[in-house]
Amino acid sequence: MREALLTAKEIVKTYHGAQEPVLNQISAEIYQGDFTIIMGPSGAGKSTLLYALSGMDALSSGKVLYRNQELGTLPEKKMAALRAKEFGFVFQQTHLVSNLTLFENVAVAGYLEKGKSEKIVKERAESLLTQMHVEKAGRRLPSEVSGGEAQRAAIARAMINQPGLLFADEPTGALNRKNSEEVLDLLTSLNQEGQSILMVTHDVKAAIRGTRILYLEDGKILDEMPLPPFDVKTAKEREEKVSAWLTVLSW
Amino acid sequence: MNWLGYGDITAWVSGLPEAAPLAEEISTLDEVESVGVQSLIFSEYEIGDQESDSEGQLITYDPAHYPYKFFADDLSGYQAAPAEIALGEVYVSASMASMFGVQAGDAITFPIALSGGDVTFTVAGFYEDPFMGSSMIGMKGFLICEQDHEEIAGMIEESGADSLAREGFMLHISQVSGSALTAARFNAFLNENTSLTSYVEFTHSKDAISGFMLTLQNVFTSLLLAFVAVLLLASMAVLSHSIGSTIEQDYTNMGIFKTMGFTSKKLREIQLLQYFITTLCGMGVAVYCWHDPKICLSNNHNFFACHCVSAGDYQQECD
Repeated sequence: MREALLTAKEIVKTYHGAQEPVLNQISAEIYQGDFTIIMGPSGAGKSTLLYALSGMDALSSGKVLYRNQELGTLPEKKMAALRAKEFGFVFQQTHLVSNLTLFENVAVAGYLEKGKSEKIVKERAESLLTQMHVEKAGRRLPSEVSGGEAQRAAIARAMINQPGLLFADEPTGALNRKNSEEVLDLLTSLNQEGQSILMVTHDVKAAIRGTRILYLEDGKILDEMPLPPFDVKTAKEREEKVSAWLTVLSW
Repeated sequence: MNWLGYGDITAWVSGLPEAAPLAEEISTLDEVESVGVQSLIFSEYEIGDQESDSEGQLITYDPAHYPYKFFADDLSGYQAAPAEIALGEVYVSASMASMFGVQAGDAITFPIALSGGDVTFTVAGFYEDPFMGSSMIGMKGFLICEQDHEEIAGMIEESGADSLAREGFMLHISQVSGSALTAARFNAFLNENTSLTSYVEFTHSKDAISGFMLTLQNVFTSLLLAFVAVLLLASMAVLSHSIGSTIEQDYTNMGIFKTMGFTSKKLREIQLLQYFITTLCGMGVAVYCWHDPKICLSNNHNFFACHCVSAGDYQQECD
């Protein structure tokens, strides 16, 4: 039986003043080792679900448990410690700190985890930048590098503390096709090394990298599709299969 | 003023041959401790081609009773007071240097009477006029010897109706210690109980004269305070806007830091720390800038610095 990292139990999220809930009694599990994709039409609540599952957004009702720990009841200090240690975030806009170099952006996240020496953090940051193929740009500011390089540095930042779960909100949304492919290759590679990933996307080419797709519409998970681990040789067929599935769901 | 024994009220009187009877009349009052008398002559004056716009007062130098202080010729400090003033010489108020450009050796002419009744003196130096501030509003004093005073008094008497100058006296009236009367009430008391009003040209209280002395400083201080207040308000507005804008720009960064695991408390500490460090640096620079120019100014030998120093001395003595 697969281990559930994250469990959502009948979660509801209604924004102030709204008539309808954005998330409507969603129950789901995110499993260890999976590359889980959340797909759906615009306004379906994809990003809202991502932030609700990561504890970044408060729920109107329901529970989210990470490794059986309910996120909603944690005090801020413990939640911050959980985010520092267990969660990594990658956003559509890289959101790197503009006056820190790529290296410093990656390292600063590492300093938050208590017990790590500065030397170890720096070594890990260098190692991640190399893994993400941005080691040469490590001493440049975010404004001095390409979008792809910045996003890869953002992934390195998210990975600095070896998180239990990596959250990604449209990580290729602001990138061109070439950079998108590079980023997706990295994420796929990380997952194949054992990193659990939860990603929101509306791009089929990104979605096919996942091992499980959840289809969200009008605040509910209508369907899900398991997939085998990604293989570039079968990418075309995989895309056709997923597209066909989405068509059935009126995508 | 205290140094010279000036009283709580100084009254300028004229139209009487001797001040002693009036001084005696005033000194018999219960509220009066003592009355000092200085002889003087009211006269206009000319320096070069500049005519005065108000009368000055030629004061007989009496170091035994009124030991004025004297400045060095370059107004850089004090010098020993002369035992007497030579015939034909005059010591002028230090303010004359800035107002008329007077220097030692210059000539000052006093028109005592019509038809050539002028008396010319040579400026021998500068003295510390207790009415410095009032010097700026018309009460300019000139120290002369007694012999010159008598000669001018004789000219006034001889010229009669043609006289342009007139004799007078300064009465320094001191209140008894512990008197409950304010300066204004004391002045009114004198007017009601003596014949002072028959002869007085004007009176000033010690506080008023002190205020006159500090007029320039007060004006400058007020202007400076007003400027500082406006600058402070403007600075606070700009600072507030700047901090607000900076924090708004940092919202995104703060959000990112929160996703990494920073707590709100930690983020607040970081924000406050950067402003605290900036404030400390600013204070350090301000203290340094305040300290260094102060040393420079105290070494400056110009007239303005001397004037302020002497005014400060008087203020201390008055206090």
